Amino acid sequence: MSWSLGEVKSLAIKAARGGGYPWGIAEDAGYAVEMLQKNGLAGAAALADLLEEREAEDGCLSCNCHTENRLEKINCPLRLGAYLKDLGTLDRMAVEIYQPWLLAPFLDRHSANATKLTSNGLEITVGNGKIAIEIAANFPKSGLISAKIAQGPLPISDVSHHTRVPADQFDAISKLEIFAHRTYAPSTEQSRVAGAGAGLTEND
Amino acid sequence: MKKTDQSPDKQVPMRPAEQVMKLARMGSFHHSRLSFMRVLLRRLRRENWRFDRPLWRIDDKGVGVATYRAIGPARTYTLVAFSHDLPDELRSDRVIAEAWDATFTLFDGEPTEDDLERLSSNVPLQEAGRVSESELSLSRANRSVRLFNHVVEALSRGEQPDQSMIDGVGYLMRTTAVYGSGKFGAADRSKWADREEFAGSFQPELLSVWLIRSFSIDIVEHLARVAGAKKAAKFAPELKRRLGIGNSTGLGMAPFLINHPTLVDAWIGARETALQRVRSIAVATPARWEMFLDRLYRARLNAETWQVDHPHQMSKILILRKDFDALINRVEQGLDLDDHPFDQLYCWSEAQLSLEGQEQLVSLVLEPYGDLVDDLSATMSSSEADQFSIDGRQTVAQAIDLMEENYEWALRSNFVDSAAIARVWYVSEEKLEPRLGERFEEPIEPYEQPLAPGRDIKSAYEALKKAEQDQLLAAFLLRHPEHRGAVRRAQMAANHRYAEICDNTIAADMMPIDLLRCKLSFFGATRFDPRSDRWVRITMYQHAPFPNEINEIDPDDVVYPPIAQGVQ
Repeated sequence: MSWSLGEVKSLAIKAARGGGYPWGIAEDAGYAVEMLQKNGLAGAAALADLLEEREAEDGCLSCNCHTENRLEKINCPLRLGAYLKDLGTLDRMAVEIYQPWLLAPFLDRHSANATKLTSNGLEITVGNGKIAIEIAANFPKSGLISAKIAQGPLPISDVSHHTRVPADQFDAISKLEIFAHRTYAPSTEQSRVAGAGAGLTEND
Repeated sequence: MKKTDQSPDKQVPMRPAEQVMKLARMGSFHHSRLSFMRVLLRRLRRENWRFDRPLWRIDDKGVGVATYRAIGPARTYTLVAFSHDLPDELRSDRVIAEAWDATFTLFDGEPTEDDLERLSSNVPLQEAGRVSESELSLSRANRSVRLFNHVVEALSRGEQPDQSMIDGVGYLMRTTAVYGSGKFGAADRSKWADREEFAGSFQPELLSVWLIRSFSIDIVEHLARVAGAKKAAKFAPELKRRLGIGNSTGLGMAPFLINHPTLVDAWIGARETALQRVRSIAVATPARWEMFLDRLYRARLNAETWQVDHPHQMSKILILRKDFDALINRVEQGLDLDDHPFDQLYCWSEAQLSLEGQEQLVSLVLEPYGDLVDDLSATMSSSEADQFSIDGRQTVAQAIDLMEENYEWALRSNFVDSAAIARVWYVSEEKLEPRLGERFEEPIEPYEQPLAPGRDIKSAYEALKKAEQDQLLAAFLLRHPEHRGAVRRAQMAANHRYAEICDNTIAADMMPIDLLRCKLSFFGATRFDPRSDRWVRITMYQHAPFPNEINEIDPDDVVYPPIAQGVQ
């Protein structure tokens, strides 16, 4: 059992929307999950965990950014990641975020330098579409993480791209499906007949 | 100085997006040389692909498995066909169906017995099963109740089926979905996108459909042999070539053109470039002109026999027939073949013909000029990931300028009146398929899909107007993530002239079949037969050669019915 990358990307977009993000950010979530999975990393699980944490916090992970313009106040890796990717430049900075893995795809730059995100027990290196992660066994799976972002000279060469999302993401995918389900309208007889628009004589 | 054939001494302009990208016009497109089915068949012929049927394990009830192999210069693909015994009452073209007369997958390579075993427990379930990276498509087909049994019975008696019935229906089986590109576990497009044989769009899916057409013939001949034994006749080649494969498509396909703006730009851009090239031809040689006339008369035959129940489409067809009369009258009056004859004709058509007629002419003028336009088919795909990033270093003022430049049609539209926002695109819980509902009559607005770019761009534009003009777009979007999708789209559209449909896709009078027709015309479909404003049947590969004929019969020559034989 495995999933195609496209399938999981499309599920991630719907799940992020179902988890309360606007469609535009949901597209970024799809981008991030796909790129992590392409690098053999558990992107689906990271998004599922983020959506659950966001839910537990009443959907308010990143609401500080509405009132303050300080980056360390943006705790959502999707919101912060989208902003950094839009800007296209990365200065050395300190951040406090949930699920730091999800930030990694947004730090990718096609340049000679890699970007490094470091925290106590975690080092993520990103460059030219490749992501490498070193993580301590006791690194927390949830909660707010303090991390530093900086440019690093290390090229990443020993990461090969994966073409499938493996069975170990089954639980995460099930969780994403629950979030995605919230974007589907309950069926009514009206929608069944009129919404799909089938003719009455389809079996001829 | 005498102008020579094709000398571009005058370059006519491309048609503007605001003219081309209107739903009513897109809903009048016809297949052309650049349609993906024709691109596929030209390649298979040019590259001498070989075809066979290694496996036919079908019992007397017509149940079992068969394989069809396509052997190309670099790789082999195999259509695996599962044939079922479906009770009539379970037959449905709707996506909510759970059983079909036959189910298929296109296998990347040659399947082993283990592969066939695995596929046999998944492919017949369609959406409820799983396929793998070795499969490039997943599809199913239902029999035409009107024709299938007639053909089996006639052949079993040793007779040929009735030609008028064959022409009336046009196919023995119709596909009700052809999934590709990663759906239900199939290989992602990225796995095969770089393969030379799949350059362009939808080539694996259309290879599947072409081979399914062969299966639909084989299964009727098989059942006729079971019923008639030695008495049974083989299907006459000229007669069976009149059968294509049907397709029945609902709303599932409609959002595609909105969701893939850069791909749409590539498709429409190729067709518009082809039109521009032909209109720019100074002199039409007699041979080219003769070929144009031949296709023109044959296309008229097609229009004369095109019958549908849907009143809107039928009225368009009646007007198209008049357009043909006017067009042929104009051509017979004589044109100066030494002075841009196709441009003359096209310009005349804009003033004299309906949209159906104008777009039919666009397809027809490309016919004699394969050497000039066929290369464009290689440009009809898009790497969408490259267009994903937002340039957040633009200022708010720059983003406003960009929208004013490219979305004038949206910014001058009214998205306040209830008729302008009457519809909601949503996905149903039941089958996870797109549907279209009424905003003010059903509780569906919370589930709205982002399929109204015009409205969303205007809303983003209004917010941008209220923001600090020299602020960076990245900062604006951090505060207004709700406009992120629209801004991404606007930046994408700035570099892709034909990316956006210049019409309101949620208006009360919007016709989803216009979206379906546009997409299906690029596939190469014929005989559009709408069953409602959001459901259409079509025919594919009618008159096309079968695999064993592709070296003898030029697929480009038989797209329009032959005049000598005509159609009923």
